[in-house]
Amino acid sequence: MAMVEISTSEQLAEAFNQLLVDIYQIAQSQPPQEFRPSVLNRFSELVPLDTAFWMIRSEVDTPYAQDESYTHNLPHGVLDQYIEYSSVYEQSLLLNQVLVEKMGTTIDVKDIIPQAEWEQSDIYLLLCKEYDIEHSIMTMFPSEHNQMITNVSLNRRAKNPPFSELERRITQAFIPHMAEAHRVNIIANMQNQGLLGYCRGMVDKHGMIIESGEHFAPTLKKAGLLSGQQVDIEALQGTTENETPYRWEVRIESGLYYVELYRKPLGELLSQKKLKMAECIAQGLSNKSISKQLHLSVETINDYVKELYKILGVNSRYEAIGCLLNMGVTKS
Amino acid sequence: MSHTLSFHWPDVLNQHITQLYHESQNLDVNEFVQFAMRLLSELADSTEVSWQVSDIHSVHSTCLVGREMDHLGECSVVLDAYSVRHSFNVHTTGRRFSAAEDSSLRFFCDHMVAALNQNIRAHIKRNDEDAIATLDGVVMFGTESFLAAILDVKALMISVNENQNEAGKASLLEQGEKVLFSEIEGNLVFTSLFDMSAYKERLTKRELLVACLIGQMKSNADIAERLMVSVKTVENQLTKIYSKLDISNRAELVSLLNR
Repeated sequence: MAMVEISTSEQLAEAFNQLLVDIYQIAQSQPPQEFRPSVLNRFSELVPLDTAFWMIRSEVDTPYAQDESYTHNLPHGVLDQYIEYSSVYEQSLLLNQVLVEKMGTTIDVKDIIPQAEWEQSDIYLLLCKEYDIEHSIMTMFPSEHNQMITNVSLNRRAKNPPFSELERRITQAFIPHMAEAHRVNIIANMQNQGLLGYCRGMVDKHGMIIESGEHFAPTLKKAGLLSGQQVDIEALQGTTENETPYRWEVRIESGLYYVELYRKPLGELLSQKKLKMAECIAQGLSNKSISKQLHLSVETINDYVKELYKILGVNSRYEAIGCLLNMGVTKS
Repeated sequence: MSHTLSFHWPDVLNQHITQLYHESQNLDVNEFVQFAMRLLSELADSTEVSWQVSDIHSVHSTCLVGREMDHLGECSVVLDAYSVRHSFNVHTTGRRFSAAEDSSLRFFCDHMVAALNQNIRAHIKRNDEDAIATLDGVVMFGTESFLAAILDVKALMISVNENQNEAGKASLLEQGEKVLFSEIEGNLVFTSLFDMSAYKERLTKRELLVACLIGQMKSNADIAERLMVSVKTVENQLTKIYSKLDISNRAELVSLLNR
């Protein structure tokens, strides 16, 4: 089934190394939604697999959570059944406990639950048989770098051979790279389209910032979405009508909140008159000449300028000009 | 997969590889090179390692870190996607690497090259630079539009070499209507392309450079440090720029340059 013919141990190590180079390349080049399918497809060239679950979470309180999982070649919603049947749930809790004890080790379900017992169990009868999952290896891996836990199970259909010890070991060596490459993918995508007054971050359901660009946390604070270190998830999901200079968009994927914050266009924050003044500032005019041009007193201009600094979050005229030019405010 | 196969993949190699990609997203290019070299020397248990970068056709090479060694213990050569040749020399005393160590090091070198390319891309995205080259003028990364603009990579090499002779940290090179701005940091050259053609006639080379940096919102102190001159000199040059361009302050200059 493997695409590359591997007949020596050296070739296997070579093929594994190439796999790692490729998946970090995928991490750098693919959008978030393409990442996990691409990595699993590439991995199955070395270790063939039919279906998979891939979860990333910040805690391990439940064995499975539908909304936090990516299901590979399986119908969406298949994990709901784990919670639906209590006998299934109990057995998956047992598996989960073993996984937690053996963090970082890839286990074969057959080594945990005896084959005869497994074939009588509801988890097998109700779930695995239904979706033709005959062989399954699972791993739980904690990332050193962002405190997230990666939970992966790889499955094969009844017509295909079980995972060999060799394949189990290859998988075990590969899982840490799945976790790290996923992180690279998130950061690389955040760096794309890095406009000024625009930033992105990823937040978990507890309001913890998992990954973010440089200005994400301070900008969240300015947008009134951060209390202490915690992101206000309710406010994040609520209306984006607000008094702050920011608006935001939230996309939920696998239980994580992908947040994009934008600075509102100046036209929305300033009156026509104040906008005219901002254009004058961007042209490098002094307050005095602006007051002449707009027929306003210097005192009024001074007040407007202070207000503008506050909106832009700057402390000097020089910074304000840089900021305005970056926002595309020029001579109209 | 055949049952006679075995899988040798040390945990320490795995950890070093994930570390490498992890830091490729966080560190500046020069810091990253240092970091990667430290991991390589740890992995090889050797204090003498070097990373040389050269053009595929060229005999010249830039030693990114480490020192040039007359006796090479082990050597690994990797050619990356930009046809840049990376050679890694790892020196051992009194012993040879085992076959397993040797392949571990070779694999790790592949990832050093791949992770460096990712690190450079991340750097370019963060800092909006257009190209990064070695001191010998090997372009390690350049956007297509940038490479098309400079047309002849040799031009970049000349600018870099001039730069070394002047012992300056930054230089300008006129290339058609555009102005190339190079800055040397450690073993790498960071180059950007600016359209300063409108001011070429009126300002001297040095003044163009100062104006260029002001346009990028740098402070006088920053500029002084980059150009290796005093703040007073920068102030004087600014005054000249103001009078030549008939403007009265920094704000007007920024606005003029960005128009």
